Amino acid sequence: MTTENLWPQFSLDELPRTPKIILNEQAEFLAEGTKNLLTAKIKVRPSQFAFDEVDYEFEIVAPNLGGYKYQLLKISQNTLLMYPCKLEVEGNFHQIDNEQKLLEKLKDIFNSEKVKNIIKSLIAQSIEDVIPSI
Amino acid sequence: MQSLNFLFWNVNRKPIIKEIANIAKHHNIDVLLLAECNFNLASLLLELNSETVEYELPNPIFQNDRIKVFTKFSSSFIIPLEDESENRYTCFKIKFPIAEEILVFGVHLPDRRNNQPSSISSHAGRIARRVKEIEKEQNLYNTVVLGDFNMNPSDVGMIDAESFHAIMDSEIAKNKSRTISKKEYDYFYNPMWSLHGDIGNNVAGSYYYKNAELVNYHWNVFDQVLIRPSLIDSFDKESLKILDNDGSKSLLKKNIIPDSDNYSDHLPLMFTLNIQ
Repeated sequence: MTTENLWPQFSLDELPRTPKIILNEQAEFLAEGTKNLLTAKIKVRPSQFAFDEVDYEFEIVAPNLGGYKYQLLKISQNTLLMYPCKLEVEGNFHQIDNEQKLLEKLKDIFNSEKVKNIIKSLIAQSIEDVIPSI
Repeated sequence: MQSLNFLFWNVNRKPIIKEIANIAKHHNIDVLLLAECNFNLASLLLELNSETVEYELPNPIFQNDRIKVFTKFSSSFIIPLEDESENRYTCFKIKFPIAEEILVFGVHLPDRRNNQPSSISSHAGRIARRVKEIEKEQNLYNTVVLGDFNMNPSDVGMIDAESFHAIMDSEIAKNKSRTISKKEYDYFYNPMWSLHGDIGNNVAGSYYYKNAELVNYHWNVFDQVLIRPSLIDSFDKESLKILDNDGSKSLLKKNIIPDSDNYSDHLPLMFTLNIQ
């Protein structure tokens, strides 16, 4: 006699995307949208505050400005659970319950006046190539 | 040899343009770092250059809202390396054609009134870790960290080897590092210990705070400079000062504490590096 299958039904079509995958996608969009004048790098490191968390730091990089970096945000997630996760930007923490909420929050951040101004400023200077070789 | 006079001042959002310019001119300041600076930078530039045109606006690449860097030399010798949205630090290199490069971090850690000491220590650990990473990325260890740490030199966040690991003895710091449980930790030299107290000093600290708590230091040395061992011989110990005047008037009240009504609640810090 076989035991009953106690597992729930799994749907492999509707798996949520991890914060890391989403950040990587957005990094690619930034490079594409700025013709590689700006890129982004995602740094992965163990959390400083909790042994079972991992941090993803999203840095905007300006290759033409000597590799200048701007650390825009950080997402901390449990090593096993993707959501909820914590998003930190400008020193403020936001709880993110699911993938949709993460996308909405990232859109808000990327479209804030401050971030748009930073991007514009870095693009303009990347084109000018203000750093002479010395 | 290139002599560089540094000034750091948390101006506490006060438009004390005249006083900043007075100090810069009086002490021939080459690198001017200002924290909590929210006035028009062009106004300060005009005041700095009121007699002779020497100073330049901060390099426009910098994206830090709270820490501003003015220099008396071309901003092309300043290479911004990193900022962050939290605005707790700014990082840049100073690269002259015929002198060794130096790496500079301007920092402003969270304030004591709204943050517990353990929280400030955590921020310190995060920034110290970033200092080490950037040193490695740049392969550059001539590092100076200066700013408003909101900690005293003796606080855990300054001493902890996992944080700044900043000690008061330059000879010990010259050993470069020490090993704890098989892990190597690089030293910083923190000369600010010598400026906490009134013997030999014009003031007993850079920030005065008195409340009704049983434990109260009165004077604090929140404004500090930390130096990696490779720069200790370039650091002019005699030049290190917490300034109590701007060269023409006192920044203190009659009871010899910072005149926070008219100027900042912090006093400025200056020092000189003689770079080879």
